[in-house]
Amino acid sequence: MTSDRPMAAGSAVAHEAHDRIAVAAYACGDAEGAELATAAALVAECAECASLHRDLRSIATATAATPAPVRPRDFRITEAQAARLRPAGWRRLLAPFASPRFAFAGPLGGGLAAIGLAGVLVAGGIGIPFGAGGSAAAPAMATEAPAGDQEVKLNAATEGTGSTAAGQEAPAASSDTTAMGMATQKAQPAPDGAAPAPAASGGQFTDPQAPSAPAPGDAAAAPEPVRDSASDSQALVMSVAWAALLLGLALLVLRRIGRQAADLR
Amino acid sequence: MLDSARLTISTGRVAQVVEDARPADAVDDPIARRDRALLEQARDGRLDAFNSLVELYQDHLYGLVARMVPDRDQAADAVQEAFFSAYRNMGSFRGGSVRSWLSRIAINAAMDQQRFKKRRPAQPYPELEDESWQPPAPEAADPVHTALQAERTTVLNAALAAITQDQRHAIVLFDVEGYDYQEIADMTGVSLGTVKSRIHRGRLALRDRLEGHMSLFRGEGDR
Repeated sequence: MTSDRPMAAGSAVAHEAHDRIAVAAYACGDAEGAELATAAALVAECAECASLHRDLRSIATATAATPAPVRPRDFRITEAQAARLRPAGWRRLLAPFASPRFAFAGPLGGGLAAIGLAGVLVAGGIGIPFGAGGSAAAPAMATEAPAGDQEVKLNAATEGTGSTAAGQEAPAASSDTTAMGMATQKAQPAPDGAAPAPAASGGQFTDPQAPSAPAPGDAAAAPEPVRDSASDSQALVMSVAWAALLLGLALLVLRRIGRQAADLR
Repeated sequence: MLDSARLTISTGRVAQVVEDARPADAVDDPIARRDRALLEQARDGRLDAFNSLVELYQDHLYGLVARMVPDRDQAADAVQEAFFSAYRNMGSFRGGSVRSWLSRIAINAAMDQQRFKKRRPAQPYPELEDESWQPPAPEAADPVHTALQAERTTVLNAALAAITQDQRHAIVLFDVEGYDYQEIADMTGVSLGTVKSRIHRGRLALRDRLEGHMSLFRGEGDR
């Protein structure tokens, strides 16, 4: 058996050691560079390589000239077969999504979903700075802080400290509320410093407009809902991210269903 | 044959449709215009127009697939599936050569046939066992030449059936169909280098299997 490894041509070298692949590439006109030089030398100096080269060219010519096999039957399509192959009903509606014209849906849907997911994670999970007074760490802090601290912030009017800077506050909402882009709300604690009102707890969404349970006889001190620019921006980004995510997923699902409908035919 | 379970399986899977990347104006000849007109009519619901295309190209497609699939029944099923697939996916044709479009669908169907259908081992090229089968030849051909051609075809088909499937596909697409390396790479989903390697090694394998019959072929390459 001969080797596929290149070897310089020479009468003293056995044909078995010659590079047959190089000769085959040479016969095909594909040899280049060193392989071309090697193959040309082999064909010129080795009688068996020259014979191999001729045989390979003869085989290629004969292969191309081989008569085509005779067709055994007629392949025309009957009306019944055509009716079965023709898309109908919901498959007809979905058929365009399986066509190459809708091929962009795959990469576009994947891209939109990835961007949307990244946006949701960044804006909702990690937090991004919005506005001058915005706090990038606020949402993250909100997830780490104890429940009472997450949901209740002492009202400056009540405490008389005047410290209501947005950057110092955690959003008064659960992670679900944050993810939906809802603005943070400040809840009014009980004036006597008792347990904070359960504005949001246990991961359940609580209507931020609903007043937290005030202490008896303190109705006049109910807080005004406060929405800062950071929260508005975050809500906008979150909405856009969710829209991109849902649109991307919709495109992917439509493409997938369309292709499955085509396969079912 | 059309009601066979094998065909049901075959038709259940849509052959991958490969778009013809060649520019439309490159094949803007009367035949291409005729084919496109027939396809347009078929898209409008005229089955007879599509069947006209079938009549025009069924010999070509069967000849192509039968060289790639070493079983005549399998080859016929693959061609039928190719026409089914073409009928289903007429809307995906975006211009160019209808012949090339159909050929690519048939090649995909043939490759799918061999890749996914694990059927019982069949005698490859049953015509080799069938003395009644002879390749077609012109009536006025020289009997000696005809006999030589028949023997050459027989031994070459047997050798083609004996090499690997990948090598056979590459050789048929390159030597018989005349596709270039890049087109074959696109159709078969492998790299350009792999296509070249398959063709080179396939020809070497053919030569090894034709060792005792090379006298039938010598002189062919000098023409």
